[in-house]
Amino acid sequence: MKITSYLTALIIAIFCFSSCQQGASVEETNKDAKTEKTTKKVSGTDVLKIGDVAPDFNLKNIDGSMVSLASLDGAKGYIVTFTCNHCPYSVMYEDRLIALHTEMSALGYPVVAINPNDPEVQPKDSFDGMVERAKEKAFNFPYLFDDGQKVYPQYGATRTPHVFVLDNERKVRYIGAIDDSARDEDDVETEYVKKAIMAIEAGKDPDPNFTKAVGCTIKKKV
Amino acid sequence: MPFKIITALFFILFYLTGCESKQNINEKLEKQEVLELKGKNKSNVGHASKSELKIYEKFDDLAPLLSLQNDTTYVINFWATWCKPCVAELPLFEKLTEENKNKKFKTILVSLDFPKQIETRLLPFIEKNKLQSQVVVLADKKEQIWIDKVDKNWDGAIPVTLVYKKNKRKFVYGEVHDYEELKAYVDQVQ
Repeated sequence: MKITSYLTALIIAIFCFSSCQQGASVEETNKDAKTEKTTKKVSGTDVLKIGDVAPDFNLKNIDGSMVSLASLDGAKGYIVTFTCNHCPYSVMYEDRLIALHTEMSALGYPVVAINPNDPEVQPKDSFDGMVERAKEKAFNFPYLFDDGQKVYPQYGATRTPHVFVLDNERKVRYIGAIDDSARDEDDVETEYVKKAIMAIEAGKDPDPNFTKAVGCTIKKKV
Repeated sequence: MPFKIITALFFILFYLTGCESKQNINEKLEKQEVLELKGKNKSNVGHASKSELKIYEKFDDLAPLLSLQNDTTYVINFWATWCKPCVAELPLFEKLTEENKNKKFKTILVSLDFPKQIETRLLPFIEKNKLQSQVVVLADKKEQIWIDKVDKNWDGAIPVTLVYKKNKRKFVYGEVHDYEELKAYVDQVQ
């Protein structure tokens, strides 16, 4: 009897405790700001430029499998997208990324999303957080974790979201934003990534091949 | 049976109280980090309403503020309430504003908050933290055009800060880590 009562109390206590933690993590900016450290701008020397061959990688996907570019059967190119869970600009593009993958993977250009953030700096970008978010949004593309933050510096990604369109030789053909209106999908005039792939498919060079957009810095310990 | 209920209640109370105080501490920490650095002057009030907040729909209307040719030193910080590192560094800019309030010096915090969140997030944030630096909103959606106009080496990630006086300019990519660092940038353009 006593044991049962203690167990009940313990379960209730654990429940209260975990719900409290969830409540506390709702507001990103309420967390101890001192733990926040971000990267300085990546120096321009070792980043990928248009025409460079992008390195392959082998990263853990949300389903637990390991994914490399070479492992994606039938791909004629790749939409390598550095993105994450916590950044509002990344969140605004989630639905558009799903649609982009549906449309472009049919042409042989799958979206390959990579979370480059250090979860010790931004806990929302943990691997478990990725699994949860991918499930909520029903991501139809691989969502990989850059464990140890080794891949994003090789690409020279500086923000989320940050897209690199590669062709069948893994050559970088386009770097930048997904389209020209992050804040309002209804105002999109140019879908840069789609336009770039159409150009590649037509044997032309994408124009523009480089665009900028507001985004979140990649979270890294100083 | 009563013992069981009492024990359970005890635990619930214990954890609820623990939870509340934890949140209070978080709030206090947040307030401290913003308010403590601001010095003693509490008389200034923030922008209370949307009508007092300047919203630039077009970057070209804001652009002149980034290259004024007078004797004033300008610190222009691009930020948003949703950007954690931006919020973390705000107290440094508030301290700078306070310390230079009698000089030819102006801090402008250019918010990139989403138009839909101006009333629900930005204004309450300004009010709660009693921001003394001027806050304006840049609502221009054509980022790929205006980012280059701000600085051609800026990739669009925030925070970024422009410190300038006449033609002496310093563009700071990423966050400012401490007050000495921020002051050093100001010194560089004198």
